[in-house]
Amino acid sequence: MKHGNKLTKLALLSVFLPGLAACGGFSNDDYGEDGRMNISMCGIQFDSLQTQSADTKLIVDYVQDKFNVNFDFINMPAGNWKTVLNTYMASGEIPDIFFHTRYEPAFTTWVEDQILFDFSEMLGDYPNLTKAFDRYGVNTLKNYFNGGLYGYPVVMDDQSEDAIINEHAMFYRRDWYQNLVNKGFTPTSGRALVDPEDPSFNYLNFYDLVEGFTLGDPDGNGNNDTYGYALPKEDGVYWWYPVLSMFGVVDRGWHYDETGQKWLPDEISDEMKEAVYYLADMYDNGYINASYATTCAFEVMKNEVVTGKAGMCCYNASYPMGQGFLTLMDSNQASKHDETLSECVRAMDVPTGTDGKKHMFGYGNFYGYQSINNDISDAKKRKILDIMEWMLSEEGNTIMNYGLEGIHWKKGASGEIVSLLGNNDDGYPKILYDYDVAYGIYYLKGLVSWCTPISPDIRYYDEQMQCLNAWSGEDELFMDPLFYVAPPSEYSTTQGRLENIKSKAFKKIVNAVSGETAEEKRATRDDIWSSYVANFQDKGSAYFDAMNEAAKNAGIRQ
Amino acid sequence: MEAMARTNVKRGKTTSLRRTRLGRKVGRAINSGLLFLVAMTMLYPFIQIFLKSFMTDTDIINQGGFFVWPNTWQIEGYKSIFEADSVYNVGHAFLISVFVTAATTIYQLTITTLAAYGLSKRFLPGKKFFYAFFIFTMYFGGGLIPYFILIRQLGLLNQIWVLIIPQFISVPNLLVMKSFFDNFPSEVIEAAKVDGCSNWRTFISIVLPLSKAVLATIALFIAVGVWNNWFTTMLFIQDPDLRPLAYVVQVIIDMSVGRNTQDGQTVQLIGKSIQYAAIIVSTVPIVLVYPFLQKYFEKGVMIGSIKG
Repeated sequence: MKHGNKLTKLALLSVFLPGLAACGGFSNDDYGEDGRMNISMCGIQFDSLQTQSADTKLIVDYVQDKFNVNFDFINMPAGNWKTVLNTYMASGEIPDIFFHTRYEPAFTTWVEDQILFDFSEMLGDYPNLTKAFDRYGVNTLKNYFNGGLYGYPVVMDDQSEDAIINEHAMFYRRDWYQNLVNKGFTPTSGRALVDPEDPSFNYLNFYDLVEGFTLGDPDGNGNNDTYGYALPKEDGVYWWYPVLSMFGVVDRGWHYDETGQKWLPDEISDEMKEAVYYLADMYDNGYINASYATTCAFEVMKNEVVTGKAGMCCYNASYPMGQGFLTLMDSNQASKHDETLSECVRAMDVPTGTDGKKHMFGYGNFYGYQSINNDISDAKKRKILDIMEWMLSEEGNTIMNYGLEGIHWKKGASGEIVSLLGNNDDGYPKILYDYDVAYGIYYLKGLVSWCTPISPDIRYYDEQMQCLNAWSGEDELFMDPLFYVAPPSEYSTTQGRLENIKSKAFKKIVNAVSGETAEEKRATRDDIWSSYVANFQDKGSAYFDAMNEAAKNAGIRQ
Repeated sequence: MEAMARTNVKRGKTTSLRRTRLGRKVGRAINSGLLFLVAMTMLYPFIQIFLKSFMTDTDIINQGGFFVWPNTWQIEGYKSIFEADSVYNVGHAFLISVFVTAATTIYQLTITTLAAYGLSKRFLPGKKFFYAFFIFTMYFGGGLIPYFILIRQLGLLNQIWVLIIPQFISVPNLLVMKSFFDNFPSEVIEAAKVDGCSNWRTFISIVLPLSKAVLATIALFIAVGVWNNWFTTMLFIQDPDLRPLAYVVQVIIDMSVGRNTQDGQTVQLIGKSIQYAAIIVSTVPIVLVYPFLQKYFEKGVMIGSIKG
């Protein structure tokens, strides 16, 4: 019995013995043993800065040496970055500089807890940074950030001075359109098909085109095996925006109601109802994929066009994603049909909307923010600002985009940059951000910009630029007028709930199949719409009032 | 006449026997077919990933749906993972995984076995408290943030030990093992004591050798869990030299997904074949362990389901 007690006690003691603590962890000290300042940086896909390629290391070392610092990179995987960031922030292990998108519910808490450094305290000493903030308006951003410049907006396209951009495109099968024209296809509307790149192309012509892509055997194989427009299931109804834009509305957008003298959400407007019904009509006729609400993931949607099932989709036109899409289209479609790429696929211009004007939803020319930990020393804050300022300078911009002179590029006869990186397997010039060159530098440069320079020597330069420029210019792009109005934090749950109500209702309306005739279906849809509007208003009325108040405080009028 | 009748009876029996045999054969064929279909529902996803790891991206896109053979074969996915200047450093990550898996399995198995054996003894003082203590942790956890703070205070951040030390015990495994020890024949233990064995000696020389099935099963559960765990690394380890294979695979898959311009949207940047190759590379080693433990595993999985 004694032995038994000893053994069992020993067994259980071993369970309750505390784990052995090891020494180490991330250093919070300002300076390392080598006398350099330690700067911890937390960003998406910093993995490529942790596991540096030889060229990445060369440039990272150059920056570290130049500023006498050592970077500690904290990686946030693209799929789980919020988990990592929020864990670090909530546990007090706040990185010196970190990326976020401001949409985290904790953002307001960070501001209230004074975790975030207000850039405006030191901005006067940094002209390049000041210019970058000025693009969006310092006061606008201060309002957005609850009173201070608590984040630097990371520019997406630094070739453009515009504050609003759109780097998506509506890729459409140019050869299919041409086939329909050649065979004299006439839509049921009786209208003639209009070239999607003709300035007169409007929302009705868009409808005719998707009909032709569905019913007109555009691939000429004699089978009814194509459809017009592929939509993805992701992100609620966000990807409906090219259609919503034709009706002058935007998902999560606001408009000023003259009658009621207040801001109202676009989601319950008559224009939105028209737009949703327009899509519903396409759905009834099989012009859009039946799987859009269930299984069609974003990548599947892309593949529907790449494999010749669908005639168009809205996809990324930014480099190199647009280039990737074009490459797939070339290998899967154009080369099979002995066509040039631009004969096979192109990007559509902005169609004229219901009000006779051209509108396309755009977004701020930035993606997320870099914020600095307010608890670090002023010296460290200044060091970080020095690095950001330098990255925005001509010298920094050149190094972060093209690498080091003499190693990655040299000056040509007239002072231009001549790449020394050689060609890739396809015989086209490599760029600094290629996986086998210095991919990580793209993410280091992400301190100030997410832009990738586009060399005229890339494989599909002309096609790439056509896609990228199809939806551009602030005269056509529009954004939610209350985009920079910070929603009161207590309404973050309400926003989520409304988003859910809207997505479900819109998809239900589009998918409504009860009813034999068009009139019966219309009646079913009207019922769903009415009950949705009532529910949306009921659940969101307090939030609408709060947004109106916030807009008023921000000085935003009609 | 009688002879004819006998012959008819004989024929009848023979026909009946033939019918029975035929029936059995048909039954077996149907059973085999059904079992094959069931097996394929589990095997086919793996087979498809395996095949896709040898396909070009174009084929992966075009050859959708059900297929059993790729149009073309290539090993580019594997080459990009294993090439000498690859930043993934799969070889090193593999060794880290082997070390972490082996160390954690031994460590957790030891603790779990000792705890389970202790709890299976009636004479253990405070047995109910200890039992409730363990069960409590199954239902209530501290949460991610307190766990992160604890790990930081223990100085385990960015240490390989963070992958091992906190993997102290698994309560579900403990319950399975306790159930086994509860049913362990007391006569065997008493006989050992009669022969002069101490409790410790009994445990080491008698109980453990007779518990190979449960030990192998629990070891396999632990090993698979540890081998596939990338989440802990994502949160606690930033040193690329300390990454296990599961995290490297996660990174490779993550690398092929780029951020889009709006919150929450993702798009593919690089090849799918690399993703599939990475999945195969990380899965095969642990799959290869199964055949060696299968004979124990078959017995072991039944443990805990029958209580005497």
